[in-house]
Amino acid sequence: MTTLLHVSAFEAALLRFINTELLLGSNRTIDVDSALFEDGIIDSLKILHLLAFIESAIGRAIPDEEIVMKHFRTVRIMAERFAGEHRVDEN
Amino acid sequence: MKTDPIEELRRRGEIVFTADGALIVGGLPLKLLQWIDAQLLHLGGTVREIQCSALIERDFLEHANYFESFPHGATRVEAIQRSGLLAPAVCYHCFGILTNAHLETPAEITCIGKCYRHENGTTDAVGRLWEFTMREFVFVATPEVVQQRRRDWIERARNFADSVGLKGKIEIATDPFFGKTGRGRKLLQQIKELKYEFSCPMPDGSKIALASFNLHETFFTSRFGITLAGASAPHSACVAFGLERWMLAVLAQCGIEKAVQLCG
Repeated sequence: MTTLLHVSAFEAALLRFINTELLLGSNRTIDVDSALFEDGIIDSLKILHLLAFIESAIGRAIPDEEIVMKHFRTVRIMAERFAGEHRVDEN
Repeated sequence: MKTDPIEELRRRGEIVFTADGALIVGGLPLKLLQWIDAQLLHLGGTVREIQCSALIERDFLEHANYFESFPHGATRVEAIQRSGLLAPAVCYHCFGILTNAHLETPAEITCIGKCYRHENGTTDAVGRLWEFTMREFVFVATPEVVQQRRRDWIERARNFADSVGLKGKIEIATDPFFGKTGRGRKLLQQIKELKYEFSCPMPDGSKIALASFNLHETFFTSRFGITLAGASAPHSACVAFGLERWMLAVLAQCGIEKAVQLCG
């Protein structure tokens, strides 16, 4: 139950970050199942900001070999992959 | 004791590695190299053929952002009152030919030519040459068709390697990128699986890439004004084979007798 709570909180935080910061000024928003890398939503600068956000949330650097499509396809998938390490206090 | 096939052919004078990183071949190695290229051409079917120049314009490579990935990768040549660069890949010439083209049907081109690359300043390892021959297949089509062409070629290359008895692996790969977005570009290439390579172990313990299978998305089509009827933003891809590396890998892994069987 705790894991589920963490996943949903991280998912919401990630979605908010992408829609309000990464996509600021683009007139676009995404949902948790949007394919982030299939239509140019994320460019070479935005991916670094996205990684910085996730790394800050989970408290560790993500090695390059972990940065593959199966872990980053959508917000939902990223949250499921990294939320177990999420240190945000959800109380 | 088993003889190293490449050493044996060097002894016979059929393979010469020059001091500056080029290769001179005759006899069996030359026949094998020509046979490999003929097989690849056959696998590619009927497509437009181009033989490329070794020279390429600096402006063209700059427009293709080549120097962001390989700032020192291109070889400069000098003559009286003029200088130029040697092509680091042959597909650039295809995009040069297609510049501002309005295609009615998808483009499928094969091209061959000498290429020149510095790789970290070293050319010591077997197969890591400064000058080599590249056979490429280039596609401009809808994203779906381009991706299918690449899948087809990955399968063909795997089957071709199996058929000659060549052991290797096809894996996701990345190019080196520099500058402030270098890491971001490399990670995007990795996540989106834009580049695969077929790599083989060599007897000296090194691993060399024999082929690469690359999706460019709209990188070249948008930069070089290439449009396609019925496609709002056509994509491109290229599949590249280093012919000397294939020849050396077949000899090293499969031996002289097998090479004779293949192309004799």
